[in-house]
Amino acid sequence: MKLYTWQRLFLGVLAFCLVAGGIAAVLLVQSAFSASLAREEALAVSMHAEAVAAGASPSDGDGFFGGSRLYGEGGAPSEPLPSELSPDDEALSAFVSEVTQAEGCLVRVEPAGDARLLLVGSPITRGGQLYAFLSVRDVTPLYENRHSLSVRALTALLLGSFAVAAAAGAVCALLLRPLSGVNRALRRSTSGPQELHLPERGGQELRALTVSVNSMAQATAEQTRLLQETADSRKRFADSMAHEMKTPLTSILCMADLLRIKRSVTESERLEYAGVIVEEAKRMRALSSKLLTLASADGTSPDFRECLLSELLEEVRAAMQPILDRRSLRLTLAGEDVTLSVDRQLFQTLLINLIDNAAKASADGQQILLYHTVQDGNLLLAVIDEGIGMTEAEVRRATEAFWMADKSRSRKEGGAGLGLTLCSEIVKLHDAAMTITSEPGKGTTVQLTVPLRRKAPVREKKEG
Amino acid sequence: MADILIIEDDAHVALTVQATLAMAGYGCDILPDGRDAVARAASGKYDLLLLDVMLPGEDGFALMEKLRDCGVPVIFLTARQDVLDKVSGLRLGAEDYIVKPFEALELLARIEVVLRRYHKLSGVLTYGDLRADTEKHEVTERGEPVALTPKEFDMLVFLMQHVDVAVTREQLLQAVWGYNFMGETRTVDMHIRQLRKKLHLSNELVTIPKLGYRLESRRGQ
Repeated sequence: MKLYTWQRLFLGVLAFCLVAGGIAAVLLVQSAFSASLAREEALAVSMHAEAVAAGASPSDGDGFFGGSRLYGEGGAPSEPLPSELSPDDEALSAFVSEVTQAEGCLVRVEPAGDARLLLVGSPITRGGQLYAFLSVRDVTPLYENRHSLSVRALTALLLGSFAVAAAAGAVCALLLRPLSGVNRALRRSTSGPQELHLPERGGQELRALTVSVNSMAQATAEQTRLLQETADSRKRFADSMAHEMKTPLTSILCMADLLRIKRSVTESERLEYAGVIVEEAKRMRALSSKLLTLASADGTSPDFRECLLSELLEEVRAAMQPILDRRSLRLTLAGEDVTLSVDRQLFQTLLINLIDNAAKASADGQQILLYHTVQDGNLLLAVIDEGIGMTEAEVRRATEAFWMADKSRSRKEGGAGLGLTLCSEIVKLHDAAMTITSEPGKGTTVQLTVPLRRKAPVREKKEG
Repeated sequence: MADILIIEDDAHVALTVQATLAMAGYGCDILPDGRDAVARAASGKYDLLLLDVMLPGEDGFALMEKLRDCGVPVIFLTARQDVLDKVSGLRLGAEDYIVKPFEALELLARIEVVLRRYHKLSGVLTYGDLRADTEKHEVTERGEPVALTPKEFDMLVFLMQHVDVAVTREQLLQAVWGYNFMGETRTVDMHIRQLRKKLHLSNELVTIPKLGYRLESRRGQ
């Protein structure tokens, strides 16, 4: 049965009051009745004894409420009792015969029509004859009294029980009302716990409950937000990926189709179409190689080896030289040499990407400084350019996949928007940190903090 | 012919679309982002907008909301092939949704459908002394009506829409019988033979080896 707590409490209290109160009332009424009956009996017996001692004769009819009579052994009265006070003949004669056989006084209540009679009887001998000497007392009011008392007690009991139960239910409902508020708020927030905040009021237990619910809602909202963020960034990655793959494909496919289906293609058209195809194919090549590096940086365990920073940097410089020369950029290396434990290939990819980014941001003839020093067991390495720089908002988005500060410009330089994404992956693999500071028009500084010694000799392989 | 405005941030894609449209004889302009799009679309010069979804700044969907009141039909060009994206694109009031990468003829065919729906294209196609009325489903040669089956007629219309463009048998199948038709390309060859015979096109409707057919503009025209 689905009942509210206050309904349960109401029914429970009602049942308890009825049972307990009923038993108490019955006992009370009964004991009051028994006491008055006993009093009546005692009175009747003493009056009976007085009458006997006064030597009542069969003819005596006065001095008793109901009067007393002598009855013969057979039970026939010498004189009839007043008719309105006469018990059934049968019961009377049975009582008389009992009395004549008894030693002392007998007391009995006999019904006489609607009335109740208290009979007191004792055997006496008059003139050699054994008689039953009976005194009769009308105790009907006693019984009537008991009845009316019972009715009143029952009425009072019913009313009282209802009142108490109703009061209990009301108090309960009142006390639990905040709970329904909590429930309503919870039900409203099915769309998501983020908007759930319960007012913290009510008793200590309720307050504790709302505080717990609130903190749970907050935790869930936080969790949901994180999940949503992950999902969003995945979706963004997939969207950007689709965009980055399909845009060059569109140009390639459509231009190639034009070359195929057009009846006549002029020389300038041929050059234009084929030029687009070649450039977009190159873009796809750059994109796919970056994606492959990213996938391998993400999926394989790096091969950490001790190596000299200066050697590493010289190799990087050699790799970058053609690009730097073409733009007549100067790459300056400065700082103390140190041995560090890194994945040589990945670390070089990292540095090449950073220098490449710096080159892209720089104007022809500018300088790129690569400064490194050792501090607190870490290698601090900064790539500093004097290029166009980025705004704060751009810096925040810089490591996001496929994001480019200047799309058309990056595209021209063969960028796919994955360089810094790859860098931050490699940085993560090396337990290192990367911070970017930049000012538009002044240049960008990317600083790496790389631990010189590895905490564990071999990094645990990722799952799978 | 109709004028088309391309709103596409990738210069090469824009160039590609422009070259494709130029082949079909459409005039077109390119906008690299959505900033001037509403003003240009409202100018009344354009019969159709090709709108990229991923634009710098305001994206194509947001732009669509503003462009809706210009009364110019819009076709989305997008790399996203999510059905939901497609639905939301069409719900915004776009006429079609073309997923990149696309082939030149596919783009043209979809553009023609939309333009025809908006009656921006004449219902009568001419090719030399051939006239095809797409509304009445009639073909006349030098004024004399020629009896063609419905499929032959559709095929002729498709070829006349793409004069000097090589079309593959698959494209003809799709254009005439629809995407779900699982027919054989030999059916196409049979209809081509019929067209050549009925309309005396054996010199103009040429077979391109390994590709398909091409209706070439007549010599001397």
